[in-house]
Amino acid sequence: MEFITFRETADGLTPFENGRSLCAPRAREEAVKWVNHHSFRARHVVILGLGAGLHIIEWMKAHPQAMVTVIDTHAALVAPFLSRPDVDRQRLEVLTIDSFEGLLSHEVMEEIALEMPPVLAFQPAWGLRKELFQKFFGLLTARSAEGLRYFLARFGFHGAIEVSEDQRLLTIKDLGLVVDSTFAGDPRAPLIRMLRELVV
Amino acid sequence: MKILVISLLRLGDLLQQRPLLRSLRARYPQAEIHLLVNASVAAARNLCPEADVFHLFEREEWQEEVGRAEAHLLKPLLGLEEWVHELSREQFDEIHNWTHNRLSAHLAEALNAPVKKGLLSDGLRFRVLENDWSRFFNDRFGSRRRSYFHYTELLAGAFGLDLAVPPVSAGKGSRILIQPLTSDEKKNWSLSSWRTFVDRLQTERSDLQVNLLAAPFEVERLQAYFSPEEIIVANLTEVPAILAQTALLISGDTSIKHLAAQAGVMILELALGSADADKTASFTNGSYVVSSQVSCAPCAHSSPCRQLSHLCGESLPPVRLADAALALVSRDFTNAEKCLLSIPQVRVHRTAYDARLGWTLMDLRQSSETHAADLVEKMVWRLDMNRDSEQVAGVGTAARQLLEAGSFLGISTAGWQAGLTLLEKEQVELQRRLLQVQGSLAETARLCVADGLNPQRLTELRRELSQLATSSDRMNMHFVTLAEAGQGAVPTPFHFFGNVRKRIEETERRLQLRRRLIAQIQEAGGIHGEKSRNLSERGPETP
Repeated sequence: MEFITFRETADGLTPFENGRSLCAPRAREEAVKWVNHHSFRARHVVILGLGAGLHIIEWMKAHPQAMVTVIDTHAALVAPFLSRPDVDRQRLEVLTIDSFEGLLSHEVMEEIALEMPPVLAFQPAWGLRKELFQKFFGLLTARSAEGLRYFLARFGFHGAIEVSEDQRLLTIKDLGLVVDSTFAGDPRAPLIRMLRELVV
Repeated sequence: MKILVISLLRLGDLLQQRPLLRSLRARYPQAEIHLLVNASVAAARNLCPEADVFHLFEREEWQEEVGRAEAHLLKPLLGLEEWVHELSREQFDEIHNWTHNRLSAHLAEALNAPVKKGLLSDGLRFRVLENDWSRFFNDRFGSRRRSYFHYTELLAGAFGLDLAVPPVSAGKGSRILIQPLTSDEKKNWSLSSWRTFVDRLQTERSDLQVNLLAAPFEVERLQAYFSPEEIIVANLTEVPAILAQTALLISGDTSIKHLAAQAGVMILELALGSADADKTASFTNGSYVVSSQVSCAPCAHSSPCRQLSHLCGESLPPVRLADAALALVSRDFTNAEKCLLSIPQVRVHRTAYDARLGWTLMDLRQSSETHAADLVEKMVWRLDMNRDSEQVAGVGTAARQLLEAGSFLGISTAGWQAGLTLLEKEQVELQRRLLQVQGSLAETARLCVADGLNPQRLTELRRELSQLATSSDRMNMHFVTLAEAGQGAVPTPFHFFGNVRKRIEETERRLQLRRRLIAQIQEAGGIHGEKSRNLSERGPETP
């Protein structure tokens, strides 16, 4: 059972999970670096991992038009974050979901299926729940076996899907294999093959 | 009628397809021709007036989206589905896939049209082999195998399009234009070499205007060696006007070269790196190509140079090349060729076009005998690949055309006689090899059946077939498809035997045609005269 505490640091109120920081060292600097590494245009993104939220604040500053959905497993982190004066609450939605099944059945999945926003991982904030966050990531991006099965079913690809169950993220090549083996006759199969050819 | 032409290639390839677009327009003057190109070549729109509508494929954007780890795996699919749906709303009557890659084949499959031509996919396999021209292209393009046909000719053959005679390289004005940079570092001659080259031109002929052509993003790099006055900065659509006042273009393998060819500008090409002049030199009449004889050239298209230094570029001496360029701009071709041929360890080619034979890349170091033999081979392939066409020439006419073309290309009577003798000797060897393969096939089939169709029995024959076309010399060219029939997986030995047998029959047919053509030309004594006009269309009877 993880418990969350807070401590005042140079970067403000920093959360700790079982005594370990849920922020990167030199949090503000790392947040800016992280944002620069994930710099692309998007109307809406999902960020996995709240921590102290500095990375979210920096990302939203760098992308003033984008909507952000944050998903974390610890409800205790939310209020301190939202109470910060530099948080733009108009463009922000923070969800606490503490199980894979919880995410699967959450209404946010409808929005994800509709928009398929990029999902950004902020791993310093994952703490002891790294495995769960990884499962979240795989589901939300369809880059895990469960995620791919979920979304293929939603988009009308019905059939038994054989896909690698190892921990690596799936790519378009894996999708191509699935399509060639199970959905070769689907009218969308040539499109997936096209996309596969774009990857060197 | 609405036709979609898929040309998802680089700029140089698209420009080489311009004669095909003109031919398509001439054949279907009332059709609405749509051209689908990569967004990166959108600037070429004004250079392709034969196309009524341009569609852009945002390849780099799609690539980025597919490659991003944080992106939803299925999102690009939905986006692409929407794009294809939008394109399909045009309701094309025909789709012509002029792009020979898998991406385009899948796209052609995804689009609806009653008629589709070119490389197509039916799921897991590719259908390219609707005609022999397509197969020839498939077998030889992208490899180091020799091709008797230019890229433009192969596409024209594959799609049944006629080609207009390309312009003669003449040029106008007194400007020497240099296109120093290509799209690929290994195809670039060093800028210091270009500097020495330009210095020589300016020293020997201060009356000539010598300029380097650069796109805006290339300027900074060139300014390390050249003054701003020497550099003309232009975007693609401005280039034709510049070429219109150019006597000679010296260039690597670039799209500017192809524009210059179509504008009738004389070209001296430095074919370095992966440049394969055999297939993509300027499609024109009377231009020159210089390339190194280093064993690694031409190198693979998609790999960087593997040598410790740029050997192919280093073998080209700037001063002598400049002297050759000066002779060309003075239209002193004899001296120009003498100058080029004096450079050791380089190949020197001249392009030629004859309506009877098509485009030829003449190796100026080769003997007349070899030229003659090469011309005959080209005609053999052309006759064979066109055999189902209503307009194909008979063997007698082909022999006459060859002799006339040979005369135009400067092949002497002695050259023809020696060439035919060489071809006859080769014919014996070709027949022998074919007989040997036929024997091996029969024996392998017997053993395989006796062994319960054990596929292991195919190993020896596969190995034998793979040895048939290890080099790209003239004789081995006839066995390329047979060699390939021996490779690759097949469901059963019966499929293997079927494939090999089919290729043997094709090779046999072509060799018979070769024999008939040789005999026809020999009958005429290798001389163009009255006798050749009365040659039988079907060729002599089999002895």
